[in-house]
Amino acid sequence: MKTPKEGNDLLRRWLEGSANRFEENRLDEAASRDPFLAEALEGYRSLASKDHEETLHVLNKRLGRRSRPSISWSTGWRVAAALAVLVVVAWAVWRVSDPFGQSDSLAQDTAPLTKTQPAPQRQLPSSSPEEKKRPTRYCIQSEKSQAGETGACPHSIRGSGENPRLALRV
Amino acid sequence: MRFRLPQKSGPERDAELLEQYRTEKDLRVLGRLYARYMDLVYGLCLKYLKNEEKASDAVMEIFEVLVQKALQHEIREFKPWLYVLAKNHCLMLLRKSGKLQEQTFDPAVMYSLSPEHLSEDSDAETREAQLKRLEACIERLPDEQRHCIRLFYLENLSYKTIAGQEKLDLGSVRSYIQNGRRNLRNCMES
Repeated sequence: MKTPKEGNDLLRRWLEGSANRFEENRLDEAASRDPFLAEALEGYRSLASKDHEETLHVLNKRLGRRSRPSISWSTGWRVAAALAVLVVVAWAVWRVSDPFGQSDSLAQDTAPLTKTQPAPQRQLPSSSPEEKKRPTRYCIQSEKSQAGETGACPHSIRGSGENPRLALRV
Repeated sequence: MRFRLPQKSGPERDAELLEQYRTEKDLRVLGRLYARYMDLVYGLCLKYLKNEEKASDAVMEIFEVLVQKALQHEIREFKPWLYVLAKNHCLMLLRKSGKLQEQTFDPAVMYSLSPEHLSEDSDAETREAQLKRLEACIERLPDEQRHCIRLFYLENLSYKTIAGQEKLDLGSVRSYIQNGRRNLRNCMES
């Protein structure tokens, strides 16, 4: 009495091409008792010239990939959310601890601009000899300044609001 | 050498793997179980769908069905249950594509032609006459079929050995032998 396992093994040998006529006879006998094996063998024989081994190899790979555990969408979202929270917390801690002491760097950067600074000499074609002798004046001009004041200050540093650093007009 | 998923062997392993899958819902366990029968499932799908690509896709679809149904149904014997599941899936695909026809299965097609199967009950004289007729029929076969039939049936070589010896691919050898066998059967019955 042949067991179903032997039928499967014979089919495997037949598919590999290792079966001789005696094994093929045994395979056919096993198929006569096993409808699953019989129909499978009929299917393979219906496309005898095809390389079934190669297809089965690919199918085994596909099954292996499908069976492999993967991160589910819900798990993925949880991980993404946890990472986002972690990044936000890390940023907040960094801001509070201020390891480089640059929290007021903006104010420090603007401080020198509040003073009158020497600027490179520039020759104005319309300048009179008196004007040439006069030292160049610089002043900070905010947008709130009146139009008339602009004329009084030909070399001006124009600022936006309270921050004169943002625009420079000479 | 073909890649095979790692699997344990043993008469009761199917039931054990099935139970393990139902308990742990681990797809790797079900994959190991399914891999044991994938040769059969693919062959079955080839029979009904008559197309390698469709049959391959069907094999993977049946696994997806199995993932759900193995949890829902009480399965006493896995192999016969899988056979019914796979066959129903293929028939459903054929029904969907409008190609479902009555499938006929002729057990005689499965039976190899070999001297042992020639009228075993007949007397020696009749048997001798049949062998002579068989030899005449073999001579009428196309060259490739005749050559492969002789190597397979008279020299008892395997498909792979014939392929190596004759520098043919395995599929061609299988095809020559199969077609030669059918032609011989027709010749003997005519």
